[in-house]
Amino acid sequence: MSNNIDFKAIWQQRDVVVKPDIREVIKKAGQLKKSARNKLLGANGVIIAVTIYYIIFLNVYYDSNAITTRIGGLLTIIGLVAYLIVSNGLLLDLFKSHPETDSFAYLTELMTIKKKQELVHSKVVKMYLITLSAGVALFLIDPAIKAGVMWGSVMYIFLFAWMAFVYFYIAPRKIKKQHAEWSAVIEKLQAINNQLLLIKDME
Amino acid sequence: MSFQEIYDTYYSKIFRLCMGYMNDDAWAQDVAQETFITVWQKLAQFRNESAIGTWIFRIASNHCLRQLEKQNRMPRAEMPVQLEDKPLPDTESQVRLLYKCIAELPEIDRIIISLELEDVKQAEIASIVGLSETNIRVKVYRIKEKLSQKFKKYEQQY
Repeated sequence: MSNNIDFKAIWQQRDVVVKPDIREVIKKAGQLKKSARNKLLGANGVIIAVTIYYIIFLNVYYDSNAITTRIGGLLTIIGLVAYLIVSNGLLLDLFKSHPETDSFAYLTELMTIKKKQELVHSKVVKMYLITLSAGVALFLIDPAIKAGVMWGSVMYIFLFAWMAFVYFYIAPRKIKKQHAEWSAVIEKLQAINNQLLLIKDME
Repeated sequence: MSFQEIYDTYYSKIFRLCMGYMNDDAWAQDVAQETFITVWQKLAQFRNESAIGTWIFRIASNHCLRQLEKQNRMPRAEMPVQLEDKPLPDTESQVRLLYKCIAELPEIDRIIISLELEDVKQAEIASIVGLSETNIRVKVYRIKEKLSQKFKKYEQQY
């Protein structure tokens, strides 16, 4: 039997256990679209709420005319908005793949996307932290002056300690973890791509 | 071709392709479903540049390849060649054996042989995977040889 095994005949005998109802597939496609939209709205919602909160806080509860406070608040908002734009880009077209292309092109596309994500992610997180830190530092100048030398110093010591902790400890750890995941995926994609390159070399 | 017709014509074929890649019923079903969701979403963009079958098989193959991101479900391909402790020749276990042997091949080989066994023309396989027809012809021959050896090895065990 082994010399002439009819693999095609054996292959075709594999029956589908359960074929899902077509309506389920269509419904799921709709749900996916909705959940992507909700995710987007959710992310935007949080950032818009924070921005509105800042504006209200600046204008109503904390009525300061100090330019540093204004610039600080503005910087923080700019950071948030930049983060919003990029994270929306991550969810939308910028990193969309095209599964209808051939596998060789698709794998190359996936690798480029992952590398782009890696680069953008670390740059955006760092930029966000820098604008946020600078924004808060500027924002606090006026209240710190009003609070007096001692309390003002305490405020800034805590602020810088916290920023240093976030910038040098939390952020690098998070970025490293995310990048390790992406690198593992890139490595695997590369390995499959190498299989294709090896076959191409056969000619 | 309407989505309904596509679904009815291709579901079994796509499911088998996914089974060849993953050798796991539930997982293959998930990926087959993901494939048809993409087909549903992109059908309006289909421009007849290739045959509809080629287009659907491309989407399915790429969804299979993408599964590497779900790493913890992946170890099947690295499993040893050791097979079940059951005597073979009934048809059911031959089917299981074939799918198991295929799932142990490298990823691209799995896709190529699954498409070949699904009776997809080699020119079409070439355009699905992104290789030349000559590449596919040589590769199919070698994979079949490898599969036969695996079968033989199994037979010798019993």
